[in-house]
Amino acid sequence: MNRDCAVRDEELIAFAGGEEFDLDEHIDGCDQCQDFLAELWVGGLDHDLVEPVVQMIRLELFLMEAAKLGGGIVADMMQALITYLDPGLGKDDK
Amino acid sequence: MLQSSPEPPQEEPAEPSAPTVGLSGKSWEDSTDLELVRAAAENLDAFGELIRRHQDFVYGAAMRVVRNPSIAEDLAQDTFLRAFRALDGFRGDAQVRSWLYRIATNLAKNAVTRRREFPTEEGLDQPVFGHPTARLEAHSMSVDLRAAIDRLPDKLREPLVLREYDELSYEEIAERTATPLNTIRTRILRARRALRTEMEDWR
Repeated sequence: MNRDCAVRDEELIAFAGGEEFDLDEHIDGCDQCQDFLAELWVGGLDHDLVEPVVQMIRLELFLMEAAKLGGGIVADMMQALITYLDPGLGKDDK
Repeated sequence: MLQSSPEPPQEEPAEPSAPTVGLSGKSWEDSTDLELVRAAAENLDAFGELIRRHQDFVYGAAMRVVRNPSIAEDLAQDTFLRAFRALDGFRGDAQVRSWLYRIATNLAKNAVTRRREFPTEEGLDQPVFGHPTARLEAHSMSVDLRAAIDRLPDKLREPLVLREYDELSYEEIAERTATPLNTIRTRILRARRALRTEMEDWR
């Protein structure tokens, strides 16, 4: 592929594989290199992130709204969430 | 920001009036990245399209640094969350993809730095998706680490877990555990030292 920046495909493939750290800053601002990497990375992700991320955002927005109603409610909800995520946390420390 | 009523989050009902098109009348799929960013704060469908469009790229950027699929996936999610929170600050001077790339890369580098200071269940320096032996070693290390954490005295374990797993600040931990801030700092330091000693064989 011909790129204005003259970075070679081999260099970008090495970069994508976790090498060529010197390219980091360049990639940050180079659309053409990013186009190449975007093609290279297509299909790398096993799961669709849309639903989990949107759910987290909804939860965050909900908590922000709830926070306006009272801090105690939020604290209780956060404690419930933590207990749900890690039921053993802190139980035996009391 | 998006206006939401204080009701529990739940699946969006299939509302016929739910906006599936942007302000210009185009579908979200046909909208530019910048149009999606500008609409996203008011419409999560627009942000969903942005995620759909760039999730592989963001995951790839994170994966390049951390070399661990599950951690890279977490970082990709975190990237989009942070991007959503920062929508107001995006002025459009840079490409949206570059903006996401920068967030993902910074998060990934921070994760590597933190994990080097405090090795967690999955070693970032070992590509667990690689050779089967590497996978087995990572699993063994995970088991050892969990056991080492379980062996810590309660007073050290709780603040450490709150800090490393829940990513609470020292101040938040102090408040939650009703313990002086300096005591929390000392306990986390002692917990890390104890774990380093316990995990010496893995270094």
